[in-house]
Amino acid sequence: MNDKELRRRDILGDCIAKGLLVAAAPMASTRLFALWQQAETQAAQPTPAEVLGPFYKKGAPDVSLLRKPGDPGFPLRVVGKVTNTRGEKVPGARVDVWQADHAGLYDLQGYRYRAQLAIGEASGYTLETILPGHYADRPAQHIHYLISAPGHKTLITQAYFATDPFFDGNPGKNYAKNNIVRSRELVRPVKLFEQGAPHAEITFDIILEKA
Amino acid sequence: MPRTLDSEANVRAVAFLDGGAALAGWCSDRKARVWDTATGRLRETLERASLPPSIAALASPLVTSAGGALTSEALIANKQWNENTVRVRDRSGADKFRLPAGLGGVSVMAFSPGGQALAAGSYDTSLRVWNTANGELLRHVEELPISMFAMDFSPDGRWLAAAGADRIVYVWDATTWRLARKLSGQPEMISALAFSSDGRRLATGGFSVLTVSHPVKILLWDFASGKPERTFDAPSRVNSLALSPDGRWLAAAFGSRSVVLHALA
Repeated sequence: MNDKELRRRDILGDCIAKGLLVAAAPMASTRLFALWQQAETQAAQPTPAEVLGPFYKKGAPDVSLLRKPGDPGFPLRVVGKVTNTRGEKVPGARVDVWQADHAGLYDLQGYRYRAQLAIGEASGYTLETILPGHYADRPAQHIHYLISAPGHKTLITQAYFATDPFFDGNPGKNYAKNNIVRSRELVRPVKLFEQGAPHAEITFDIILEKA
Repeated sequence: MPRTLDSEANVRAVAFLDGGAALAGWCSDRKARVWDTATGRLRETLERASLPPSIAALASPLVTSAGGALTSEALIANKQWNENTVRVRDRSGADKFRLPAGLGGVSVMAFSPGGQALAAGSYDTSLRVWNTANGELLRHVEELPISMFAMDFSPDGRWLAAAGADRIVYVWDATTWRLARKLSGQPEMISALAFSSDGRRLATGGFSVLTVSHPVKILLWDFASGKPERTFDAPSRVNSLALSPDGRWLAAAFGSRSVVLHALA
């Protein structure tokens, strides 16, 4: 335990003793202290980083709808929110996303399946896209992310899909296969919706670290 | 018919020596091989420590200035990939500068012919040029849409050419650092680029978005007109190109156990 934590404990102890910190229901001061301490140390971990890859492109449009009517590939919705390790909203965050099309090809001339989203007050984002295809030199399906925000470290990462045949039905065991995926947490469970227009959905929340 | 020079290890980079009489290749076993251009016979195999400066410039991952006065390497600053650093060292190996260079990894670096300038491109699409005497940033290019994978200064130091994923060769005037020209015509992403020693020609080689083992093209450009003069077939991703000073040969390495020599005259 470092000096800072000791001082924090002293201050809290002092507040309890002086009646400045009281529980709404009867509670022992040690329990009150433990709860407080636990909440303070349970800051969320930042989203793990991944490589940027060679195909990032500047200047993508701020659009949520990446899929065009009639596009081949299985429709995919990605939902998530951008916060920091303290759980605070991150106003002004910009989320660059880019992915291969259903055949595993990146658009290098234009901006197909590329977007830069400005994150608003609600801190959430949605992408209407397709499941990215596989390509020979990087055989796990993925969506690239580059997230920047004032006062925070830029995060470069990727979202993967637990249903990808690459994981052989067991991403917990196989995520590290061939050194392709660096963190289990980046492999997201896929929900399938069959009502109406069938589509898959993943949640990919982004947690940034303060600069 | 092109001539094939065989190697015991994969050849990553090539350069001509002795005015074009010999060709050197830097290989995956961290040795350099030197062939006789006319006969294709292997002259010698050199360990890294004994490389002459003319070959040492090839020995990646370090980039070395002509004569070996400076070396530069890209450091992975952290596992978050959000902080690239380029480290420049002098002949003794002592640090001269550590220069911040964008995000996501350094994709390509090159020294100017006299070593006075160092250029580095990053995967965040930014490109920087520094004065190696004082570490001053001469130019920070932020307007490129996509990453550069290959780069070369013209032998007179006047031009910097860089190319990458959008198949375009960007040329900057190294006296003003303004973008001077864009050359279009390479059918694939560009992974290798080299000026001829008289600066009149430029060779570019590509790689397919499908896979590195897909056949691609090598283009030989007339630099003055900006038009491709000749096209050659390549079996897979072109890793390195060199034009012989006597104007007779184009050498290409594909990361395989051979180098291909195309006769130009």
